[in-house]
Amino acid sequence: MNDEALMAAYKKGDLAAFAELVDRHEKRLWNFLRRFVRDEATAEDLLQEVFLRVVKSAADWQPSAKVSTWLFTIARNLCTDQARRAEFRRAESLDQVKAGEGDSGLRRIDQVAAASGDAETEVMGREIASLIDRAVGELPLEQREVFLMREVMDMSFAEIAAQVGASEPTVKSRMRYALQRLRSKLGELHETAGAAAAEGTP
Amino acid sequence: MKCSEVSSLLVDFLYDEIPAVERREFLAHVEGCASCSAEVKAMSSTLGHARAALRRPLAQDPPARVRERVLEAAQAALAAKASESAKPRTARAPEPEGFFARLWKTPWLVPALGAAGVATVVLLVRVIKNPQVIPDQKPALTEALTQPPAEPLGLHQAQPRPETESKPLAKLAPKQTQPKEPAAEFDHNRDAEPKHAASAGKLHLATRARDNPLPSDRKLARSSDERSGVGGEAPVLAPLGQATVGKGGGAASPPYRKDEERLGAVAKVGPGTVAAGADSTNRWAEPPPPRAAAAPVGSAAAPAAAQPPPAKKAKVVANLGEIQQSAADEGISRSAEREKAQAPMRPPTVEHAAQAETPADKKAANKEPLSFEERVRKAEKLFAEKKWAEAEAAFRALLAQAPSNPAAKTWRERVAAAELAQEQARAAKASKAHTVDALDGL
Repeated sequence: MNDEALMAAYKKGDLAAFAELVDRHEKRLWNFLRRFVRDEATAEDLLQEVFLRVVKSAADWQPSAKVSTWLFTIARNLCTDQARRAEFRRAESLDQVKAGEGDSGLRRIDQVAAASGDAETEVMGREIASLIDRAVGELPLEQREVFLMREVMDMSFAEIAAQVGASEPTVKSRMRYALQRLRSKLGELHETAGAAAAEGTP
Repeated sequence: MKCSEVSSLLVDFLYDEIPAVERREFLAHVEGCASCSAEVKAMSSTLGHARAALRRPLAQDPPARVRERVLEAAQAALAAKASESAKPRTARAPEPEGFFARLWKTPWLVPALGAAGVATVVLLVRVIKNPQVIPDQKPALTEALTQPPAEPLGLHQAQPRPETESKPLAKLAPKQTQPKEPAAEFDHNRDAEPKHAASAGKLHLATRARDNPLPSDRKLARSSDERSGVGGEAPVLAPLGQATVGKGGGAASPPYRKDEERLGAVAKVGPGTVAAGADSTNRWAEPPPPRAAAAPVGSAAAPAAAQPPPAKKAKVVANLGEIQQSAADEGISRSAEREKAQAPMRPPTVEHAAQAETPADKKAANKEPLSFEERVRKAEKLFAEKKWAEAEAAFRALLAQAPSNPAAKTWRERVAAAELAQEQARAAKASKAHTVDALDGL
């Protein structure tokens, strides 16, 4: 049973169908929200709000609308509003990120580099993933939402373009800028880790 | 392919969305371009790191409490929906009615509308039967008859007199010291003023001086006798008297010039005629003394000038009886001659009339001169207020008491006019009642 059938069943009073919808999309939405807002409590509130809005607007839902797109549209709008409200706190967040790149960060990169030369597949540690999360969180809003839509929500560039109201080339351009920023961040880490490894090697 | 094109196609290449032909060109350029090759490798490595990080499980799964709250809300929504769907079958609250809907259901609406309709019909019938209940709705004939006098007729003797009257008086007037008048325009009349002063008794002047209820401008017109009586004793009044006498010399002040013009119009055309009525139409509308000034003269022209003489008014005057008839028969030249002949012999004021009566009456008039004037004023007031019956009675009483008063003719006219007005009012009422009855019959 696809998402639309589950939604139709819930409209008829089937609570189990709605529970199934929650189970299907909860983790992916959580992943998106958690990386977008970079705050667990806020992400929890937003995740709950997404499903509450679905409950509230279930009567108006039409079977022609794709449930996953509907869910993500709600989530994206909530994230955008929240990001604008917390824009003034961005500088503080950046400071926290820089503070987190202290000795422990360098050691982790060092550990990654020492454990294996294949950073993409084998050696990426949990804390390195956290650093990537922070780098994604530092992206400008337009680049961040495009990057997360593509990498977390598995949306095509055409869908993203329709979602954000921009042309597809524009969306791809934003994606390229996002990758360049991430590359820059990761390059700084690699360079720092390489220098630390060189100093540690006799 | 250029390096810029490689940069623009980089995302398509990474996500494998580049067309095959362009892909070959892309790879051909990258293999031959070191910078582009490094750029592509770096971007591919970054994307790999990001995907690896994003696909790793997060440190925390979505809290279970979120799922619980959401499912509770979903269940509550279903329950609410079920209860809403059940409500229409059982009891749905009626929608609030509008103001007019509630008004229409009000039990007293029909009686109230009925009462209002009855009241409207009664009012309309009343208006049709008697249009005078409407303000400014007066029959023309009645209005012509009931034009209120500007001043009580009994006081006409106080008005300035025309030249025909003042000249004979001037012959009898002794020379007096000329008063000091402030107005230079009266200087040429100084000689005439003391002459005219001789015609007025001091008793009358004293009475007028202490009982002067008229406005200041009216005082100017009335005080011809006063200032003559006061003479040098009251220099302030002297200019007024001079002006009064001076009108005979053709240099009178505007109020007296009006009197002169009126008298002249009467002398040329004659009273009771249509022409005279047209001429005096405007004067009829004038409030003050012109009409009163002619009255003391006592000639037949005086009542005609005092009457409303527009075309229809002249007709009414013609119906007033012998007074109007005799006035119409008299020529203006004849009346002017008679004026000259009678003026010296006529008592110009009410007080003079009272003095000409028996000694007992004279004493009574001396004792209570104001009561007579008040009665005259009251009669004129009743006439002005169109209280025809009362006015008629008052004038009849005045005529009974002082039949030889110079204003007696006017009083008789008032009596006749009041009678006629009452008669016409009764006739109009009867005709309207007949009309309403005819309409009701239709």
